[in-house]
Amino acid sequence: MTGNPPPDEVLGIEDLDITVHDGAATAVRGISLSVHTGEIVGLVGESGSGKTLTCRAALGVLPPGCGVERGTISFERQDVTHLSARGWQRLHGSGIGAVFQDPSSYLNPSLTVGSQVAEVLRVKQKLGRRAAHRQTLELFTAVGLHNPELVFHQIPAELSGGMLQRVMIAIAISCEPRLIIADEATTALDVTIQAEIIELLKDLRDQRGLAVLFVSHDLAVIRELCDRVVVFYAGQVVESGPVEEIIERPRHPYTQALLRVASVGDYRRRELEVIAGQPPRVGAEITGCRFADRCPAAIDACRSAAISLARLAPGHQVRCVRADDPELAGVIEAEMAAR
Amino acid sequence: MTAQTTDARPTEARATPLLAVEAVDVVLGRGWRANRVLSGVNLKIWPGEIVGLVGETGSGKTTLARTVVGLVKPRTGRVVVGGTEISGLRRGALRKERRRGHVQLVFQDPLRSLDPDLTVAEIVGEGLKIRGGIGGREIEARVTAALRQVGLDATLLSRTPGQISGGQRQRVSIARALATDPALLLCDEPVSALDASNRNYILRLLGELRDSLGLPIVIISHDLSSLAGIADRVAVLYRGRIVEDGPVGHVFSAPKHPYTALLMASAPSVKHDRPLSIHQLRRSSADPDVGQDLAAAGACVFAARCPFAVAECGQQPPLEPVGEGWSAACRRHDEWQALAGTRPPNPTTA
Repeated sequence: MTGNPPPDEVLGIEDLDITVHDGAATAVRGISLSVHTGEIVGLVGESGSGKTLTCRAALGVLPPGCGVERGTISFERQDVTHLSARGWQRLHGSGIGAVFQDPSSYLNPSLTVGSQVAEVLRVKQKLGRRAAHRQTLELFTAVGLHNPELVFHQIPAELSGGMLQRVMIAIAISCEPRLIIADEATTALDVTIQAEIIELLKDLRDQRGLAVLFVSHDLAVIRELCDRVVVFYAGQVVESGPVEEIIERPRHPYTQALLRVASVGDYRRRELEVIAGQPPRVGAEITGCRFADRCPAAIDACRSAAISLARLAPGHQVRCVRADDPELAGVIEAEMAAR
Repeated sequence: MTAQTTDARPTEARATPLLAVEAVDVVLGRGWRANRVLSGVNLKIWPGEIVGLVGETGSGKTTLARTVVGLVKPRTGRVVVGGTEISGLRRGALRKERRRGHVQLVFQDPLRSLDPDLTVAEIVGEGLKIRGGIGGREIEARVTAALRQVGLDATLLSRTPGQISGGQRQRVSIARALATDPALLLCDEPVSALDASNRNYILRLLGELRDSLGLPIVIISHDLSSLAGIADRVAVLYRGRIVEDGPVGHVFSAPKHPYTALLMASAPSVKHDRPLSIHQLRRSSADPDVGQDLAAAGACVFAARCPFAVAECGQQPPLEPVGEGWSAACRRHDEWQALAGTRPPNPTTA
């Protein structure tokens, strides 16, 4: 990129609440986040923390029984919170692309992968048969598939998991979207292939100025790929900030716990740590910090009142009453050693 | 947990391996569909050790596990478990051997491998019931004991797999395997469906079982880093061949096979302190042609992806000792490290 225009906000989520079970429980509470042009933002958290729901809300494909209760979602500063099904359909493919965990379940097993990519181009961009074919081959080259002509005529069963994920990414970027939402897009892949897909996403960001929202439960993968990270716990954002900052100086005890259990690939570190306890039930009403029951440094103040996200440094926010407590690190260390 | 190394074990215990896989070839399918899944695999498991078996999708890890329990017949070679040659057994004898439950498998996805209609008590007790010879009360007592070994409460006994959490389900499948008092536990991707905290919990549990029962455990994984904290020895499988096999400390700190090094460099990590980057270990279009068809049938299995391949890699090297209890199948196992250091660590923009 030449020159540096101020980055535009592509996706903005403001104070979002999502209810599940037809409004019986609130699974996501007061989430705010934004993704800008040329930026990769990671969402990290345990299963059930609300990261996938948030993603699906941003794609306008919440499952039945779930709904946006409060807050706004904007795409390129246009409010899309209450967009019609038709309106979302127009955005899918053209403005927002999506990649999910298991590529083989999103492709028709009996059609060639080429015809499925070409179909998207013919429907969304109204291309003719020839133009769609040519464009598909170009896309296959762009996502690093060798021998695109051969791949075009193959069916999904003939391709490996990594190649299928590349085909899914080709479909996601086929209509020049400004935003890609990738939900656990590398989780089912081999490590060597995962490394290649991570590189591909970075390249696409660099070449096309894409904004990417990347969901993973693995902080190590987030570290490899993302610029900024948002940590989810039980439906809330507990910490967010630049990835380097969060990895080097995590402030929330939950982020610190995630880091301790993350894979470092070190054979000398024989003690395998776990986060004791279970996360609260989805939609549980808890006064104060939702992590308090599992937190080694919880004090009375954690449970007495709701805790807001506090700004520590530019772009670094944390939801913890003891974030500024100099004793926090020492308390956690002593607790961990005692267990 | 203490890190037991292979060398620290008394010599008499080392004399007879619990499991010996000798020169096993496995071909699945017939005719034009025939597919050689394992070629010349040698693997020995000694009492009380935890061995990690690493490899990517399609490398034959699961087939090897299935061969060990007698579900797949090797075309050549033999599998010996505790003195019994499993690979030579036929119908009745094989069934009898299997019912004893000497070797137990734990699968990746407990939700799919456990019967959703059975209670935890029925699942864990089923193996004992099939083996026969003991009464219902004895089975009950053993089931409770097995659950206690994996840190589960007896209150779960009447629940079905759908009513417990993912981490608990995997513990139930380990308890099921433990109930028959196995001599060897084979875990096929036991942690890849779990999040980091549950993964560490299960790995720690396996380590404790080894320590308390002296149970040898084979952990199959596609992820080298999840084995780091637990295995004593790792064997790396690539396209049906073992390309490196050695003590975890040696293999992790100075891998002898370029594929092992690539696996290590590819594993995501929260620390950025890799000695070599993936670009230094990946073959690129800029690498010279060595005048040999590296993808040919007899060539080194990794040659087509190896940036250090030379003409002599057109022939598969055998697994040769490269150190104490450490072997690798690479002609250039001492040379490539220096070459890798001279390659550009970042992608070359052509």
